[in-house]
Amino acid sequence: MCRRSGSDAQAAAGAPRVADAALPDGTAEPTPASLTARVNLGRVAGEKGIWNVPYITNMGMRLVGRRRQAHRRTAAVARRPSRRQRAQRADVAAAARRR
Amino acid sequence: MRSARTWRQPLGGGEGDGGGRRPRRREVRAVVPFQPWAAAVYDYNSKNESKYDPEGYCLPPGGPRMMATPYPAEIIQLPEQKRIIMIFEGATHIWREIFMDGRAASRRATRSTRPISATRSAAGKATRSSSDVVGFNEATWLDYFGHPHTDQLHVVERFTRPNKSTLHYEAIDRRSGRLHEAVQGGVGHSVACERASSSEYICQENNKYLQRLTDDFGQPDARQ
Repeated sequence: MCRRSGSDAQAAAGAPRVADAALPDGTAEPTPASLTARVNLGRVAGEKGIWNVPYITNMGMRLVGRRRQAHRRTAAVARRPSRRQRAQRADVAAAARRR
Repeated sequence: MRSARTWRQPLGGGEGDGGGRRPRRREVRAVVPFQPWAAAVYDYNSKNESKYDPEGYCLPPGGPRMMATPYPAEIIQLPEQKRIIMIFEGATHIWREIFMDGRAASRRATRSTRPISATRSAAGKATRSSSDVVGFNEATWLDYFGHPHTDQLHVVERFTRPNKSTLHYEAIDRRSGRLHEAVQGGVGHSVACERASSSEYICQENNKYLQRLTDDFGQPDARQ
């Protein structure tokens, strides 16, 4: 929920947050009705229509959609050479030493 | 024998996404499918700690980065004029328009830091609105970490308002051009914003401070 995650001084200087509008039973107020078929993203009576924007420094960590899983991998696995690769590198190093 | 020095960094953000920090073992992180040139640009930006970040020099954050700069934004919806105007206090007090008159976002649009936005369909939905954004130039980054893009970038944005005080934003790269698979496959972010009040922020131009932080390779600048 829009938490500022950065340590930038800009984030610290951001706007104060206004308490969420909630009904007495704790539920959120419904989406404002619009005269057109579209969603109303603007202000409605009783509010300013101003939104707090989060600080996102790395969108690579915010992947969404079906392909997200395809873009994830364990960094340790990605970087760690296999046993075979390590053996090959050891052979190359040994050959270099023999020369 | 295992040696960390012999491990080759994976192409694409291998140096970068932790600001030079090597991930801990078993740490899972997202990996962007970079093209080689984009990976090199990204790693370069990471090494010099985003020294050349356009936003650091008060240049506009193009596209999705507008929704990732931590200052309040105002949305003004004008159904009579069939457009949405968004005013961003962060960065350079930038604004943007989303046209709702049925026009198509043309990729022939002028390349700009303020790309063209148009809603995808005339109907829309009760809680969600989608728009196409094209006409980027290559002077902007996707984020502070320096993910690059080309002028072929085509972003599809989805604004969702599930209730009165929550706004979800999602930006997905729709089209990948010849050079821009750096961001192919749904790089974007999904956030939920809360209502806020405005503050005051000024971006001062001619920022010399960033130039003297490090050299181009992340080392302390010799001029200091």
